[in-house]
Amino acid sequence: MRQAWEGPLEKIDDYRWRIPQSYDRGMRVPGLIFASEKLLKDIVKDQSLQQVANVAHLPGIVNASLAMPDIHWGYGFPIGGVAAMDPETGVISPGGVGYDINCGVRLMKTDLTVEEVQPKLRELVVSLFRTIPCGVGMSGDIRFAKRDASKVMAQGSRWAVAQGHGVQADLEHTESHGCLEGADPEQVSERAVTRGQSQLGTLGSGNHFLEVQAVETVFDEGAANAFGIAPGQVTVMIHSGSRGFGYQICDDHLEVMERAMPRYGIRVPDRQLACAPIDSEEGRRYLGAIRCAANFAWANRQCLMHLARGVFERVFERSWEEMGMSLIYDVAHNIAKFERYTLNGGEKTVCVHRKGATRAFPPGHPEIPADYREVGQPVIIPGDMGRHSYLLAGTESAMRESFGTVCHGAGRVMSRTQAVKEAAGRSIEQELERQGIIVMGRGRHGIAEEQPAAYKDVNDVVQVVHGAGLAKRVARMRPLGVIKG
Amino acid sequence: MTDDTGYEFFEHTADVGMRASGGSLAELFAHAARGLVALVAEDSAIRPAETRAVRLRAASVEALLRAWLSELLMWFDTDRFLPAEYALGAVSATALEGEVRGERFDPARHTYGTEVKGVTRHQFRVEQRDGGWTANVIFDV
Repeated sequence: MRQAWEGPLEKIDDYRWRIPQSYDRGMRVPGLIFASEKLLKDIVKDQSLQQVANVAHLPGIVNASLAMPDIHWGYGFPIGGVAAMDPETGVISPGGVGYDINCGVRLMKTDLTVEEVQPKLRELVVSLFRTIPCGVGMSGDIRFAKRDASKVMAQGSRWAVAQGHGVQADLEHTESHGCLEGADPEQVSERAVTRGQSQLGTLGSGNHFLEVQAVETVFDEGAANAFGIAPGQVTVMIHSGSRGFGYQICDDHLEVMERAMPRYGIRVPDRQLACAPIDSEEGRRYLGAIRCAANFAWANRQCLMHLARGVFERVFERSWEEMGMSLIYDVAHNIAKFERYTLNGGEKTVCVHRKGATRAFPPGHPEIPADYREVGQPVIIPGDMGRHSYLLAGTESAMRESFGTVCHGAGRVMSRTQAVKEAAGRSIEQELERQGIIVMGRGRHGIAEEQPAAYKDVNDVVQVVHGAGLAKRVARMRPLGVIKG
Repeated sequence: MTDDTGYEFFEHTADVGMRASGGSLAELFAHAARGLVALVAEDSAIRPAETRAVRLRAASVEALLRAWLSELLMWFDTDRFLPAEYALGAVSATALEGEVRGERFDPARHTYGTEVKGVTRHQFRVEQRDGGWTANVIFDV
């Protein structure tokens, strides 16, 4: 089923490639891919570039159908795809956000050093694994009554903090303060609420994880100081999203939009790109619903972080405040949001779809917390569980070139079935343990599917966004312990 | 094209592709459901302890298969219900009625598989050929 790309791809420079608009008559804009020659060797092997071209068909798309260096074959949009739409003439597409609405990552610092954590690392990872519900079908202890569901949807992280699962400062360091305005619980089905009810404060499975890390390298001391990290320090990274709640919202609204498309005269090359005008009943309803899911996801990651702080408190017998466990930042990487950019000399609001891509706002941007305003927004890029993860900072170039957006991770290079085959007769856990990394997961194949070799090297991916000037490297972390669903 | 279980998985970089087949629509739907359960709970032995009735309508056979798989996902997400046997009496191109027997996921006896987020529309196909039915499904995992 893998079909290699046979269409045109024009080299602009070492980090930029173009699919000309002439490739397909339906394309309204060209495709622009940020990648290196090394990464392109894998990118051209699957259907992701065709998906970049397909997204260029969508009505109202502005400038280009963009792809980040971690691009790979998704459904509808490629993973790593970005598209900004004109709010008057453009569409909004659930395929440009995905099932896991506001899947994202947060990074928490600690003042603990690797030397302090190492002797208790196994106890810490085991305790995290036992405390944080993970794995398919696992429900959590943090529940909300059905009558409180609309509060979770409307308030996001604020709801979690009001319940005692965190502090005000956590909200300051979360994208959009962990709450999108305009959430409309009326647009959320009963099924979505039912699916989400037992899943708040649960990690999920697949590529979701919680990782204890060590800061290995600092590239930019000024920015690292502002973010509160230095080499040898321990950090905690959490990757999860809106769980069954968001998946159901995506499904419900895809159905609505697929039926509505003929009425608006919209034709798309892939049914998963089903969409509706932003300025339509269906578009507004979907926006109202995804904001609920985005808020649910922020509440979820807030609850997960709170659970992790509790585990550190028990293992190290100190309060989390004493251990300096403050949130560095939380970013969404599956989302659609209205943002303002300078386009053709004038200021314009566009609706930016990020499907596996991270917002990266530059220094001075009003949406950045005051304490980071001079260095730019922290951008969190998880890698794989055997190599590295990155902390970057946004730049002005991303505002001009990529709607303030960069990559979201390493990007898969191997299918899950291939990864399981590659791992046959091996123990990935033991291999990682020999590198000093403790990994715990529930599924028999989960760790094999997520093995380091299944991913591109995040160093190569980050090299592209850094080299292209879209974000700058601040620090690199290496994994010490990982829990997976 | 599919092996004797009636389903097989195919390569997709990030997600999971499945091809299912059956001599009749009822068989195709049962085989596709088995494939989904194999993803969620791998080769767990599931007892047919509890019976649930199912009744679905949709505008097309493709929408019906998607609704069916989504319904089973919903059951798993809300009650951890895993199907084992399918008695689908009446499956037409737009309506399905029957019973599903299974039990709730028990971590002591069952295996954790992959969380399936959704049944995508990407390259989704149901086709009738050579006297049988085939389906092509990509799950978001």
